[in-house]
Amino acid sequence: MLDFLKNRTANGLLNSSREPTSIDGGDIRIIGDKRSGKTTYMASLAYWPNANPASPVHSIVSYGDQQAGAELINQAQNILEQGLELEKTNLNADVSEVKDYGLSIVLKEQFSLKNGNLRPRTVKLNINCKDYSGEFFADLIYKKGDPKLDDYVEDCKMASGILFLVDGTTHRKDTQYAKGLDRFFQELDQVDNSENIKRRIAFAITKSEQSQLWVSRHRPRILANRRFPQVQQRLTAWQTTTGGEVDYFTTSAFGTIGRNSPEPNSTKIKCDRDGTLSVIRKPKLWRPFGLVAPLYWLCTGQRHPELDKD
Amino acid sequence: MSDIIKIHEFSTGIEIFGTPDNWSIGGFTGKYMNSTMSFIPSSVKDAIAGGYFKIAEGKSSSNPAVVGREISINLDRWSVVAVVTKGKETSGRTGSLYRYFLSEGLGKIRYILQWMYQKNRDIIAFNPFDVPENGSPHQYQINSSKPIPFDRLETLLNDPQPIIVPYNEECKPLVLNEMANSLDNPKAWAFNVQGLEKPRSFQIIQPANYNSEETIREIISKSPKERQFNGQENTAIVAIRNLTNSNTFKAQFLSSIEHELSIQKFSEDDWEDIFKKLGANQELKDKTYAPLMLRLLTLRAMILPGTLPEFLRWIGHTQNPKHYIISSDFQSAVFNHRIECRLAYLRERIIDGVKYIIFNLVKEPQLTEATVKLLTDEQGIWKYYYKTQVMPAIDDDFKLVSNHLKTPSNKPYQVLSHFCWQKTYDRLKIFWQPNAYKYTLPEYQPIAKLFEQTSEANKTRQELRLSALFQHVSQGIIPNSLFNKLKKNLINPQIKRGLYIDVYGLWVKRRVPWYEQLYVAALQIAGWIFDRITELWKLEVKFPFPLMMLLLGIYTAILLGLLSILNKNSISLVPKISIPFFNNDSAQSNNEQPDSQLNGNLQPKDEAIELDEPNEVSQPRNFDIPENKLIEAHNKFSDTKNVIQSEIYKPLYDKLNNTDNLSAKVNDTNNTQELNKELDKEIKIAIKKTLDPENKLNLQYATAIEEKDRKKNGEEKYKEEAEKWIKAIYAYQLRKKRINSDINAVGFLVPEIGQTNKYLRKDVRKNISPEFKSN
Repeated sequence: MLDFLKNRTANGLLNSSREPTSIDGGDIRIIGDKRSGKTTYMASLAYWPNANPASPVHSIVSYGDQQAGAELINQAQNILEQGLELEKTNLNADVSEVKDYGLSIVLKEQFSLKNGNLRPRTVKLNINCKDYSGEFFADLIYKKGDPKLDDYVEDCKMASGILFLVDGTTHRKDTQYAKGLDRFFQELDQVDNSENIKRRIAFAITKSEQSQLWVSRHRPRILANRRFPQVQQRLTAWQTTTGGEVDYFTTSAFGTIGRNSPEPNSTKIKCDRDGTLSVIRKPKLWRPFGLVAPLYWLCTGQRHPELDKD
Repeated sequence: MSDIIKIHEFSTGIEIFGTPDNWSIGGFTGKYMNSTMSFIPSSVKDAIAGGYFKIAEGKSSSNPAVVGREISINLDRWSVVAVVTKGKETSGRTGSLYRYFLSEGLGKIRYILQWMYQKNRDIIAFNPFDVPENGSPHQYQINSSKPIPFDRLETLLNDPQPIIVPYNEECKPLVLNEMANSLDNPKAWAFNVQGLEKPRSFQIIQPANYNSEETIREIISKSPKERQFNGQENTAIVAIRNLTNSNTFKAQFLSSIEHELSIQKFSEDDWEDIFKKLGANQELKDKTYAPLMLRLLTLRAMILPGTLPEFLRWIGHTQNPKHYIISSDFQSAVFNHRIECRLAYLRERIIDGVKYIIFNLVKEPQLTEATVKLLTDEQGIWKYYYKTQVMPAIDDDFKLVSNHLKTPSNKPYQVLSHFCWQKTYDRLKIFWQPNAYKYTLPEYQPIAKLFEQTSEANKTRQELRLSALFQHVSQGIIPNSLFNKLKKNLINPQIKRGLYIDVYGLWVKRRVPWYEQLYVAALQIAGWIFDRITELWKLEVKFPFPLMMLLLGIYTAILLGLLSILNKNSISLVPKISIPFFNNDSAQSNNEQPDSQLNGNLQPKDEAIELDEPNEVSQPRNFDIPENKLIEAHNKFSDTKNVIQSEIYKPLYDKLNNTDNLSAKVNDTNNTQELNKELDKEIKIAIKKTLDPENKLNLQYATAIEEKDRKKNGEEKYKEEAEKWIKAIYAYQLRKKRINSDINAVGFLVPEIGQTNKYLRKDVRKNISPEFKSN
């Protein structure tokens, strides 16, 4: 076995230019309040436009459950091509019924910076995501003792990374989110962490195409501090006590249009305390922002500067 | 007809805001509401989870869509009607709301619809305030009703399914149902739909409008025709998904797969389709090697042995060692849970896979390296069954082939009777016929290579014999190195003229290396020269004596040089090499027996090849054992127990209790029974003494090995006693390991092939008082 490993490693180095270095991100769970944009985020990723040559992302293909993959594409077509609104994601009674979305993200050679290796390498991120219904997080805040929620948290415990999405325009719900996190961490910390897995939580502010958020898109930590101070405080505390890692991101599934004076590429349907509900404005000019950055960080623990760029 | 049927119902669970006239969704509850059933029948639940009633994302509307479907899984049969409408949240966001009506048995959809029209004059849609009275089902008295005509639509019935009824044809759910009734089972139709998640699973669809008709037709034309399971596959899909989507192993889903296999719900093609749905076929093309896919394809190769070569080709394509490790870890997790999950059917499939993959080398010799890797991977489940079951079974089978020639018997073959090995058997049995040496089958060379390489890695000797057999079959000759290995490792090897070795009753010839040929030639020349000199001597030709001595001296030096090369290469061979040359004529039946180190006939045969070992180094005895080993040893304690009883205790008891021995003693004591008892006691004491010389652990033979009073004492006590034995065995293995590298300290004993067994047997024998051993 060892010999074979050695051979493999030697071959691997020789052929590294042909086979992308795969970084297996393990399992990721996407959590967040209702309407925070979890399904839209996933669907936009699965429907990644390959048109932009400047993008560090070479391709994104879905793998695994064919039905789940087709559903994502179908959802993406609805929201990004036809400008329709996405339906609420149903809350499954049984967490084992929640589908997995497998996404294989290939980053272009010249942008791969892992391990300070200067040789150009293609990096492939293999991600397995579960998109929970928003009710999961909402119920964490308001319901206690529901066995279904325990199962969901149990399932979360198996994940190596958690992507916590928050609609950037729901800053008035900061306290509630903090309460939800308190409950979530309380459950999560009861994990028998015998394998000593270092969990990462990416806090991503979605719908950043909204102008009040767009201006700060390159300063996610500051934006988080300004808009969600209590959430940030909980995250920092969690980081200190558990030795886990936390980082901050801004994302926009729709993106903006116009170079000099960018405007959101979305039409608002409703905007209230519960956030912004919008649909895409000009499907042909769809250019999402920052979608891959949190996933790269969740997989590697390193930020990829190219992925943070516009 | 005037029967009364019960119609149950349940709806998507929501929190309600507002009043009956103006309500909105507060959120999904994840449970069903307004239900007349205490639990939803599993077949219906599976069909819902499988998406068989699902309207495509964003395609529900306030104008209800209706889906009718009959579900039948074994005896669980239901007629179900789902009515789907769009609901709104206070924020304006929408969600699909389902209201299901169901009646037990098939053919009831019509009555459900008639009941709706009778009650409401229309389809009854989702209404959170329409709570069934007392939670009891609705009752409907069946009236004999006329068949519903669908004349105009009859021509459509010849269309390929799913039949699309144009959106502008005036139609009703009852008519669609009537049409479906004239088609095959299972009945499934959809009315007034804008989109469906599984359009291919329907017989008849009537789209809601022009656009949706276009879209549905397009989706159907693009999606390949696939087998429809109607929800039956859901349990298997959920099990596979949850077993493969995380590196945390969820054993309950392995049990679930074992259950699905045991009830033989699916054919091989069905399983293949299920894995296809989960992306296996796509992965073979895309090669993402995501952990989920590595586990998925590993599991697929376990369940579907025929896909094992495909799995090897696919995984052989990656350069990344991590990918193998993920697959190995998964195999090891399945292996570790095999007892807990009571794997029997899956185990058989894995064993079938091993049988198949070995045979497959004849067709795909390029997979030799990959197959060796699979069958020698320390963590691998295929390796385990190869080493413990399949390979020994092939070995036994060929022993049987050989024995059949002498004494025909009806004992069945274990592997050679497997469908893929039958042809091989037919081709191979010719080799046991006279004159078969002229015949070779080169395509079996990879199998020979496989056995030789796995023998090295797995440290098992039967494979050497198998390798020699397949070498012989494919090449007509075996490498010298293999010959030497056989000689060294086989039990009582039968060798003829230093050139042939008995392998399953065949005389298999070795390839004679160049130096040996040279040596033989040199000896022949020496003989020839010696003869000439003698002749010359006799003829009294004057030949300078010193020159003659010099020539002889040089020649002897060359011979000695060659001899030293021979010594280096095959020490044990040297003395026997002279046999073919010097005893050329008398060597025909010269079976060479290695010197036995042991006492005469009392020893079982396999001990005859044991090497004398140096005396044990006296070491302080520590009975600690690592936790993981302890757990494994506990799991395998039943094996350990069997080995102690059948491979240690019994052979010794049988040998020492032989008639000569007995009769001698009987005269002394005149009491056979008592003697037997004494012997029994003596062997048990010797076993305990061997494992725990200082009696620190106070091992209990009766309690732990014979399971005496196991029920009475309770499982806790039994485990405690077993643990003492495990610790003692582990300590014994550790002590032995210092001297014998072929022993692994594991804390358990492996039946038949375990290396510890023979040492233990020998040591126990040493510890038996001499009075029992005299014969």
